[in-house]
Amino acid sequence: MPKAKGKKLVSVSEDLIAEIAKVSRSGGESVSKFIEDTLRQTVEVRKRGYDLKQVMDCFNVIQAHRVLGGVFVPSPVLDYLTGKVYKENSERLQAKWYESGKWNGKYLKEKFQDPIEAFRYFLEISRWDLNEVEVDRSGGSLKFRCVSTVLTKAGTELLAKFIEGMLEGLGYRTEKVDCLKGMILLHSKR
Amino acid sequence: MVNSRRKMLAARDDLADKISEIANSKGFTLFGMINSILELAIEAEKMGINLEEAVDNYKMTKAVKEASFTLVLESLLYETAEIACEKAKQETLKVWFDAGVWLASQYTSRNIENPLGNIEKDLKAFSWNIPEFTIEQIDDKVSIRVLSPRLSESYTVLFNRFLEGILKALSFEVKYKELGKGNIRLEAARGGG
Repeated sequence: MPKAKGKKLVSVSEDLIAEIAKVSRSGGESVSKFIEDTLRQTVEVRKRGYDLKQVMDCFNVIQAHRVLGGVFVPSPVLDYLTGKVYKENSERLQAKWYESGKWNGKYLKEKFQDPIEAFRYFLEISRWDLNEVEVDRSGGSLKFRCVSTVLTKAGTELLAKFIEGMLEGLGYRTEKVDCLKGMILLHSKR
Repeated sequence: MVNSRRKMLAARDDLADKISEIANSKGFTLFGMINSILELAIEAEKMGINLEEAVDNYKMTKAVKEASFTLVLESLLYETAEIACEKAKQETLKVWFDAGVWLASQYTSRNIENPLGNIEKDLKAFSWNIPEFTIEQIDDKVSIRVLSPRLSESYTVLFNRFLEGILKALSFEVKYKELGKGNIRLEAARGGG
């Protein structure tokens, strides 16, 4: 790295400099201040043990939840509510969860560059009760797998419907679903 | 994807060194690292957010996880709560009360100095569907105010029980309660105050 007094020269893509010039101009600051602020904040984020990309992805996903009408609820309460209501209202609830998934999928498709990766992260962020979330893409096919040691049967079935809806919103058609208590395996095609 | 034509820019050497360290630890080149960081910053700027805000959000999701909350669609939650209340009101109320007790116990068990203050901070962040939510503590007295036109009548009653559970676990006794659709006001005190 070439070095000036108290400064070091770093190389930046010309495209990015043009982009930075646009956004920093609208904020009334210089390109060099934007870069310096960004690097300083990145170092601070890192010092706290966070990863900048994760922080930003998380922000985007939570924003999506806000827009889509997501709310937080204590997990035991949600388990109880679904358990209490599911037996006599399973079809109605499944239809609702499916529709809600479809909305979420359509939104992710519009909003994210890689909607399938966003979908995986969306579940990871919003469903702490899932121990594993795996999405395997090959060609136009998609294999989805999630495992939870705490999810109830009703909770698993509703989540499966939500995921089916989400994948439809993302442009995939479900070919096969295996749904056991705490485990969902799903195959879809575009 | 950025193009490969580059320009040299001056950066504070301590920052450049730190970023270089981060790049090494992640197996990136300095050029690749700086450019991906700047891409993220541009994206954030375009969305009108700053990194500080994004970090706060990240911390909030960690707190949500620790508190064992999960995300669900608001309309689904209210509808499900409505049906559960019709079927078994007392049992449903107890589940919410117990969830409040459990949440508060999570904070007290960590031996933090001001559990209620921390609960307030986190709950306010979790409860973005409630535009007005305040918990004020002065000495041994607490005042809670919840105001949201979106809350259903049943959900308001359930959320109130959740708050009462929190107060109970922190040894507060409810002295005054005002409850209406989307409106909760609780006054509580410790030690018969």
